[in-house]
Amino acid sequence: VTFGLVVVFLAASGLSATRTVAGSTDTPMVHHCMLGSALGTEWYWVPELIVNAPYAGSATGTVGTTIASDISVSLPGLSWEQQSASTTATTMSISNGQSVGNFELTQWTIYSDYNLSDEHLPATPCTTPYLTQVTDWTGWAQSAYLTNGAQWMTSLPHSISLTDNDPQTRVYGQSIPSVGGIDSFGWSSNNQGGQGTCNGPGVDYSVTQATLASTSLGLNHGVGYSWMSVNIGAVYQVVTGSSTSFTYSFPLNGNWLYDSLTGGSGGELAFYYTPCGGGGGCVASGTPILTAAGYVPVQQIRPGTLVQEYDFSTSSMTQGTFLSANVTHVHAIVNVNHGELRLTATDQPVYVRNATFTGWLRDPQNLTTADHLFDPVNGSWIQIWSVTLQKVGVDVYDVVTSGANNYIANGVLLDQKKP
Amino acid sequence: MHVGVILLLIAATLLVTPLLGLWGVGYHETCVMGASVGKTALLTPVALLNSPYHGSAHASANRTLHGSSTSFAGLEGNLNASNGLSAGLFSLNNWSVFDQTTQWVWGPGAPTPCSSVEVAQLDSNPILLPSGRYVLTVTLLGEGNTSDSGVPGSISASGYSSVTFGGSLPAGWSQGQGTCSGPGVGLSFTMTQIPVAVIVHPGDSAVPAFVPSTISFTYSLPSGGNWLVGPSQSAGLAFSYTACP
Repeated sequence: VTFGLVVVFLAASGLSATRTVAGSTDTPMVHHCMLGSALGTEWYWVPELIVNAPYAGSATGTVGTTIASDISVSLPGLSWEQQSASTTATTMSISNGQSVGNFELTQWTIYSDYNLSDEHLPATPCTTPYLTQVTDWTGWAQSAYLTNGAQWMTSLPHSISLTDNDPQTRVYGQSIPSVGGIDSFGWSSNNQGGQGTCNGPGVDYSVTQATLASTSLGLNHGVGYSWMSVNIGAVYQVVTGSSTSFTYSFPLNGNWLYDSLTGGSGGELAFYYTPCGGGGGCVASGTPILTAAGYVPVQQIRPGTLVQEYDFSTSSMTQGTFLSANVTHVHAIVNVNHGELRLTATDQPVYVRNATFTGWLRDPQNLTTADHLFDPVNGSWIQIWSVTLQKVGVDVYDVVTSGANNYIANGVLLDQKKP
Repeated sequence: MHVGVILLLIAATLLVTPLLGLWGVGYHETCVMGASVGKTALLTPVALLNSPYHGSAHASANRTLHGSSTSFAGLEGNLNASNGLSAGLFSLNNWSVFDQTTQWVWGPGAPTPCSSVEVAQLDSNPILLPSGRYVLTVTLLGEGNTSDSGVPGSISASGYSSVTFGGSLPAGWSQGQGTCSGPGVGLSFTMTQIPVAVIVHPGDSAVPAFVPSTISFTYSLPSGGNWLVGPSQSAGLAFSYTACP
């Protein structure tokens, strides 16, 4: 049941049509975008709540609204108006890699628009030839599964369709698509952080946000919101007074990366799970490793090859032997400086320096743009200007060397995985 | 314009605005309570609760009561129900009904005309029931009901009748929740007063009133069903179930 979602702003995007704008002459003309004719209507499910549970863990999401208004009281033989305050909330509790949503059936109307020239109105000229507005919040909601048992939520579905089960709506029994905004609930690759419980008790991670904002651009994924072959997007958000909160629970013995969802306000998280003691500690295929003969892609190096290392006791380069590089496959990678370095999220020590610390950072998922990487060949520090968690399937290599037990990957000092 | 004319206009405005329903310094309407029409003891809801068919519900009520805490040590402010059952928690309270009239009075103030010809007042001190307790739990609708439309508008128990209340969905209600393709959903709802209607003498017309009671409701709708869900008049949320196609 949705009592809280209300469209407060709508816009169109991804358009290919042209528009006519009222012209200006000698003085600057102030344009204010006005709704024109209604061109058509469409029905869509709009998500009021999306909740993802970490694999092996659990999650609860709640969206609530406080309402103060006059209500009409009608008792047997008597009716009257009365001031009333009430709060309503919808809660979804799930577990073990489930991703679910609660969707409200809405009718959208597409309008043409035009610019009104009026110096007394705010300067908000039309940017697109069409606007959309939700013209009927039915108040009918249906829950749906997006994924189930997912260890990695890097690819949530872009759209769903649900059959309307409310006999009192005009589209009862019909299969209705969701707005393409499901894409907005995908992995945003902003690498919010990670939670490991391999060496400690399970923890709860709670976040609360004031509003849920979701953006859908173009709606070209799955079923689009289109009229006359024009794809129309919309921006919607929860009105003031609504709140959405989440609680995520992580059990013992696991590692989870978490990431806010695209278009969200930070509260809705998706998760990427790796078991304890496995998967971590690697560089991606293609990473150049500095050998005695120069840089060689990691997948091409054979055991026994001499590699360059760094001796901290003498602050100079030395040589060691490449012993092995077990290969595994992962579904996400930490991408530093747009591909200069691609590392697993955990258990791959990187030598870093920042304002308060110089030393080995065990988990690349914790790298930030405040860190510098060490270039032992030139004895310099490399600024990190970009770090993202990239959803991509890639082979990774667990490099093991003898000697100083470290190595140089594309100019950056790395250490071998620690037990 | 002369200052005197301006002052005259201001004074005239302040005198006239009450006639337009606005605040002013002259005459304005106020509601004055008149003679007592009657007084009687009626069963009065502390909380009314509907549970969704196949689901469950809980209500936690906190009604402002006078008297020592010891006197009400046995007061149970919680209700649980499941699978279509509707229940109510009642106390016995005195209600008084008075005439009231709208009068013009001199002086500053906003107009507050009477909204009805009678007003009901609740004596929040509960009366001990014949059972020796201050509260009474009553089943309003048995388990297994798919719709709350059959919730009665009043009850009689322990030799007393009750105020009138409403526990079903508003007519034509279409909002709700489906879980045919997804997980179960929890709902919560709070209200701070229970609308009721009071009749102190048989045959009299009902007088609107409310019982101050802060009630937190939680509901659980399992996976695999459709429910129309909406605010009932006096009982938190109300439900009407239909099976998945």
